[in-house]
Amino acid sequence: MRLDCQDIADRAAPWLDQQLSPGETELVERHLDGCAACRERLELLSEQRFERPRLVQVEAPDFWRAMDDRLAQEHERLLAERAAAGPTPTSWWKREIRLSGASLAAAAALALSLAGVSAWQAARAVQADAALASVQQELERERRLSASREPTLPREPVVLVSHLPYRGSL
Amino acid sequence: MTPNLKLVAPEAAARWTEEDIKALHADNPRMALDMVVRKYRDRLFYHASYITKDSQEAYDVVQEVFIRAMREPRFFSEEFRQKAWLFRVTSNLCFNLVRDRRRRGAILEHSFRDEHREPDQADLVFHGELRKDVLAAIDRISADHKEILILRYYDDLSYAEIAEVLEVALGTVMSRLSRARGRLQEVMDEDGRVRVAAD
Ligand SMILES: [Zn+2]
Repeated sequence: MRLDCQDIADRAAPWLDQQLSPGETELVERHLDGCAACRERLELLSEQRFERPRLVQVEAPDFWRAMDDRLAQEHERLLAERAAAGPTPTSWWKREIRLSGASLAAAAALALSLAGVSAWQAARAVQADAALASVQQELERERRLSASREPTLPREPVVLVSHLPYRGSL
Repeated sequence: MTPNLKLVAPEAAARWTEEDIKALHADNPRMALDMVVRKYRDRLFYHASYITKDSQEAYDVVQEVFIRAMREPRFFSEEFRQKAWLFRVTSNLCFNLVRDRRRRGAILEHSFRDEHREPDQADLVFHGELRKDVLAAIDRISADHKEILILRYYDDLSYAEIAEVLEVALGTVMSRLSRARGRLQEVMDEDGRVRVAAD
């Protein structure tokens, strides 16, 4: 199989990005060996520089706060709308108050992943600590809530990792 | 119950996979939503900024995308491609904005709204760096070409991920991306000629 100049034009980006299969790469390069026009064209394209502009404000501590508030508000509204629409057998917002073993495992995994926050940033450690404490608080509250509604539901003890391993290396 | 949208450190969210988040959703939809927001908001904001070149519009778009996500009934279902959907909806909203802006004639030489408001820090940085970058030329090619270049070279999505976002075959991603780079080169060549002629 031989590729013509149009085939090369259609494969320029994946060839430059090294995203072609070995077979395709071979075919492209066989054409390039015999076609100066395509070689020249690809060389020109290879000089395109895609540099990301820095958008510094994303790093500002307050940058996302307004969105957090708005999304929380929207979520509340959504729950209210769905509650008003009446219960359905699969209502996920009903299940929200029940805390199963799976959810506890997920929360523990969350705590663990918070614990994995980069060792070199002390500030992050404080943040993770706060987040962990607040996860724990939320879980406790959910547990009380669901316990008061469903007293017979068997549950496992909440075990959250309070020791954050990265402390040792700080 | 108070919303827990502030619970999760972004570093933790970044390590969570879509599967983790979907599993969490069954028992704690609020936290799952929070994880999605934490995981993707920066990247979506960048994506929106590259298209609109306006940080306020980008911010509004990302917020709207998450509101749509929470109202999308399939969002946490097993086979749902969250990342692809989020990028797709962000793209669509941004290109609608850009098109409307153009239609209103609000777009002049540059697509910034400097004349209407004090540019914020981000826009200044953005603006300053734009001149050196092909991002400026990207605004002058078709939306399809602009979108695919941004997805690949600014958002750093893989070819397979781009195929999912655009809902096209991998081969189409390859050829469209190739043509986009060719078209970009033509625009930059024109610029070069104009600059040389002006000197
Ligand atoms: Zn050729």
